[in-house]
Amino acid sequence: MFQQLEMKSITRSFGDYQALSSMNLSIKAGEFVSLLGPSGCGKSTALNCLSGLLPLTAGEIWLDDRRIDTLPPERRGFGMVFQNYALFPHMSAKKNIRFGLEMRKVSAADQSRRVDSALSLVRLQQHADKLPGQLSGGQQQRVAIARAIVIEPPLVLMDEPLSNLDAALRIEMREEILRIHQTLGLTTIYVTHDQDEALAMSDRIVVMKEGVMQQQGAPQELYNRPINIDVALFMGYRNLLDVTATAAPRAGRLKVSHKGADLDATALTDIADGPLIAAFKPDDVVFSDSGLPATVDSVIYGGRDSTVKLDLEHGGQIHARVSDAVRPGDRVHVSVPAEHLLVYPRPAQPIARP
Amino acid sequence: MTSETIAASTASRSANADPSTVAGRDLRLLMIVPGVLVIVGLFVYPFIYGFISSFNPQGENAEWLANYQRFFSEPRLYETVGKTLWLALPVTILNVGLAVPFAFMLRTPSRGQRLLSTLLVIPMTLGTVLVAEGLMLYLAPNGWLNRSLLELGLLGSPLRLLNNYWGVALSLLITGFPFAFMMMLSYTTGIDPTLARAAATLGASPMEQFRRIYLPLLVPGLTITFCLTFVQAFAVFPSAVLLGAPAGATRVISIAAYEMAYEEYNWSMASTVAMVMGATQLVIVGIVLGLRQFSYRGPVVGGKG
Repeated sequence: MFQQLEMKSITRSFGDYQALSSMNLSIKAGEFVSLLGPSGCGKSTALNCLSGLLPLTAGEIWLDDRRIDTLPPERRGFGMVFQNYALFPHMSAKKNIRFGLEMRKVSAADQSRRVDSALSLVRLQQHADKLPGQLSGGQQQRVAIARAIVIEPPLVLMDEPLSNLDAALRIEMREEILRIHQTLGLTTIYVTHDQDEALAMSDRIVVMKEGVMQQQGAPQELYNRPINIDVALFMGYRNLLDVTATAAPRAGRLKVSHKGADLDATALTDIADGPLIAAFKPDDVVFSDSGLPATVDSVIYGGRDSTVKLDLEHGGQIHARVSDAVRPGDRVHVSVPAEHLLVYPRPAQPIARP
Repeated sequence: MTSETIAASTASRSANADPSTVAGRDLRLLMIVPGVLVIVGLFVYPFIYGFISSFNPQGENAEWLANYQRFFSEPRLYETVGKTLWLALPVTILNVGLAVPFAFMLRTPSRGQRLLSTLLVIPMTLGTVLVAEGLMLYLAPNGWLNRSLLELGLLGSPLRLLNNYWGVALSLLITGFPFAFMMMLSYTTGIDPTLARAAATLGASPMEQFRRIYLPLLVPGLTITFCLTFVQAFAVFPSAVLLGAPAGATRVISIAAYEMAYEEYNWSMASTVAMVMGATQLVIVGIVLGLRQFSYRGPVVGGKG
């Protein structure tokens, strides 16, 4: 096994287009790391560069003290799970799983033993002799996972493995993948565009946009303290308010004004003068005696709390998730604790929600 | 369109008042009538006519099997089967065998693929007669090929490539290969490329990816390509006459049929030759398709798209 995987400013261009720009990332053995971002953000490119299916344009990949970016995929020995499963359609589940062992010239007795234990790990013993076409989507995905892990790879790469499954199965397979990751003590790199999936599964999340790594950290860190407006918008729904700083802005607590109303806010990095945007999650909105005056527009009751749509008196609409009982037409005051009201430089283009 | 969407659209149509349905009968089936008429008129009827005619020999008091007895007793006739097979089988095996690696190497779309495909389609569009005429000039004892080889000192005396087996075999290769290549290319590009990528991550070298993944999935395509290329080669006529030795080594079965029909004016005997020709093709195609039973014949993609 290995201690650390190190990507050193890896870059991949297609003609003039940089799909992945100078990415630096190190991964420790046993970690579950998600690459998260919208389609076209470079996350799959990064994965394919790691597996060796795409050569790098620049940069290096090191597994401890071994440089691996010069090796073809068949000599890297990483397990890979593909979005469309890529099961060999002419081989039974068992033979699919056995394939990697045959390529490694493992002895026949060992092959059978390891295939059997992989089959039982993904709970497919009864379906061992079926062809992929005779298996359901979830079962095919289990075969694909078993096939990737039976070779005991130092690194398992998963490229949106759950995106072809329906919602209920997706949740089930999430737990299944985590269980296998923990049982075998694997190191997993998981590509997804689904932030819920990334938050639920990862030790660490790497958010990417347009080929550039934006932020990396623990799920809580990214969810609560997104470093820029792109990450903020990608990590769950955020209300947005146009604000201006009342004093020279820098990192830390600061005062901003929204159409004449003063608000206490937080900047996570030093920001330049100019128009700002404040972002906050619906969960962080509280009804209070002071704060911005608003009228309740609609209420969607959700059991423990309700999702309330509010028209701000200063203009604009926000969503709040509160446990207070309110009815449409009620007049309330809303405020957001300063540590949850995060301000960022306002982008020049209008903001597109992912 | 998948079968489900077809079923869905059929269901939704019959749910509405459908003008194509009269008294519960689906009149859309009538749309196949012109096609059926053409097939019956141009294929089924002549075939049955020829079949019956082959058992009605010309001449007084002839036995119903007399034509077949004649065919299998005259060396001039029965030897044509072997001679045609001796041309068609090796050429077909070579054509399909060459088409597979070419198609495999050119499976990803590129400028090279388009250029080569265009180049290869040209002999197909020219037709066998033009190719045969070109080869007559090219392969002749004083043609370009022999002259070049002689000038280069590679040969002492010119190769005999015309009016024998080799001229016909070469022309069948030239006209048959593009066809086999185009067919194999479409089968090869139909195979999900992520399968080979998956095999690579599991440790398979490019050679093993071909042998373990592509080749087994190509077997159905290989057999169909083989059958169609073979049937084309078996029916060889123009190049066997123009480039071969139509009285000797390349006296193929179609020449025998032509002689019966237009030199002996024995229509019924010509039909017999045609029936033997059809039966031989059927046997070969049957054997090849029978062998296919032993291979995988399902979809060639590795899961949901």
